[in-house]
Amino acid sequence: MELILGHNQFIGISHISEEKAREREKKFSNVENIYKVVEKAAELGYKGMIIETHPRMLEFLEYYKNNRTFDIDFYLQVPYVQGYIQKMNEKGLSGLIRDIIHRTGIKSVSVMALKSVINLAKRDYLSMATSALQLEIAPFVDVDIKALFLHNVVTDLLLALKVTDAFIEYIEYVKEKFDIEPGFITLNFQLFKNSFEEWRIEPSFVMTPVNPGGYDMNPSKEAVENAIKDYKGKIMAMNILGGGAFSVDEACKYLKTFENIRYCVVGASSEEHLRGIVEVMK
Amino acid sequence: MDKLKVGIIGAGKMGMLHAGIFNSLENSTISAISEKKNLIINGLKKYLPYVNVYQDYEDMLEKENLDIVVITTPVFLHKTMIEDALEHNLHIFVEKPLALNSNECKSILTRQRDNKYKTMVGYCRRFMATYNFAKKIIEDSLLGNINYFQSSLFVGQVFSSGKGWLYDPKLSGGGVLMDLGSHAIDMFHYLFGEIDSVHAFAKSVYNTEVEDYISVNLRFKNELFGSLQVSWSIRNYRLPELKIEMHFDYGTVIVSEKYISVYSEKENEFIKKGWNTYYKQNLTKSVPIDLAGPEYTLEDLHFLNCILENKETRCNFKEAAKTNFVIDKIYSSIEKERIEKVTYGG
Repeated sequence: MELILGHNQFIGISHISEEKAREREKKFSNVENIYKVVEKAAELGYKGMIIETHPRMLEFLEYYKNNRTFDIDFYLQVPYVQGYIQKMNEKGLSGLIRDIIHRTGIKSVSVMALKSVINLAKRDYLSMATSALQLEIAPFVDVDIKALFLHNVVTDLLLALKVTDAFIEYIEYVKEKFDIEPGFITLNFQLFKNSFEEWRIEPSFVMTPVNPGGYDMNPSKEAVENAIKDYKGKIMAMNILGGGAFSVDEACKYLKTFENIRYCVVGASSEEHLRGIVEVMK
Repeated sequence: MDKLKVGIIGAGKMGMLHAGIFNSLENSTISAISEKKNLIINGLKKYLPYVNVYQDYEDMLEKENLDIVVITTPVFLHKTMIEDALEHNLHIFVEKPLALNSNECKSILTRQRDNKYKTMVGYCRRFMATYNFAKKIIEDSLLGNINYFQSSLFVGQVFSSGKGWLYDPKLSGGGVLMDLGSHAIDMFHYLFGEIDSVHAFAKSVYNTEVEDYISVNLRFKNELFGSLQVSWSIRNYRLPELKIEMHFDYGTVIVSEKYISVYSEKENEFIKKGWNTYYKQNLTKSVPIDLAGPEYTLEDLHFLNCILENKETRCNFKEAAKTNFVIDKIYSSIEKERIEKVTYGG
């Protein structure tokens, strides 16, 4: 099984406590400390890492490009939801749209009245969404992106509302335009699998929670286990430790019961932790 | 049984979240959405061909044969929409807070005639496992009586003047106390019961019209007392965190969205002597669909069950109005610089 380093620990996210998140936030506010952990991970055999366009991770990416003492694959998670929410909060929905179009370099936009920008967006949602995607991918042009994972907030809402076209468009666009493998993050794996079958979309690369407590495995642990067992696409397990609520031994033993899980994301923040997981996973 | 037909008013973040959930549950389906903004209307029409889309919610209430209406618009629109929905004999779910102020709440409560039609307000923390564990400790006196608490609700969101209805008190009813603090006040009602009096201070730093920081002392009818600090301008708080530290005869409880830590001087059936920490991962069961946290699904499921079984909801209009009554007294305490008695609209 390929070990992939998660990135939540670097940007102040913890699934078990906000205090813990803030502690790590302090440690990793210096990107050199992120670089050291990723370097150690690569040395220990971690093949890739998850990344998103959080300002801190972009800073790390620059640092990586300038130093590059090791090689690692990137799995990019889009969109950077928190960033869009923050921007919408500051500028409103139309301000956010204008910002995206503006940054893609359509020169006329800066002098266009807000109304015309909105009209442009209204006519063509797809080009809006792809402009936003292009912006997110831009910093990664000279590194190796293995897959482009659609954030679970987006994937799961689209699944729930049965927006078949959005999935088809996303898959086509990412493959053809970027030549990258499209992927999806979901907390509702059974629904994901069933929907793709019903819509006759080929099973895609999927990242989904798999842990001994059944946390975030919906609609039930058993249903997700069964769905995983006969899934034909690639699966990357996430939330395997429930943010620390489950032990490494327990989690690894559980993961090994699935033959077709080929990738697993681990959110380690120290050499000891990175090494501990490698030992158990052997 | 036919699925209950749901109509959404306001296709923002919360509107689409509830639309997704109700559309995926066994006993409900989305039939219609009403939304003012053309930009969003066009998108809904293109991507959700099975849903009827309206620009005017009254049109939707008139033409659709709905069972449930979900109102997720800015707060200043709630009162009129709720009263219109009541006229149409619908079950009503409204995102928090119920309305702008006490007077609007009183008006809504007097219009509500038939309790066959269920009402609920989206105070989602009532459906989080950690707070429900704290509730059990209080109700079953597992650590004896609760004597004192201190609490905070912080997020790092506002560091410049915010844009939109949320930051205009005529449209939102207030500042951070109304937006975030209402969750805390509602949780106090859920855990501790009714409030007797309040005393508060507030400060605006980034916004001119609404408060960014607020500090409240509260005394309850059962003689419990404690404090609450609320702000949306505390750096390094990525998500809103409501942390309550409670002190009991025989122990301490610290509870937040993600964990509950319990210190007990005595051993009992549920709690070991010493420190016990339970994470939401240990306490939360799977849900039929998870879009932004299991609590939203549990909330919507609970609402559907109450409708189907003709039971009162965990947070109906009457219960949620209490929060508005308390918030008005907090603002009045700040303005008049004195302790205010909470009268709950009486």
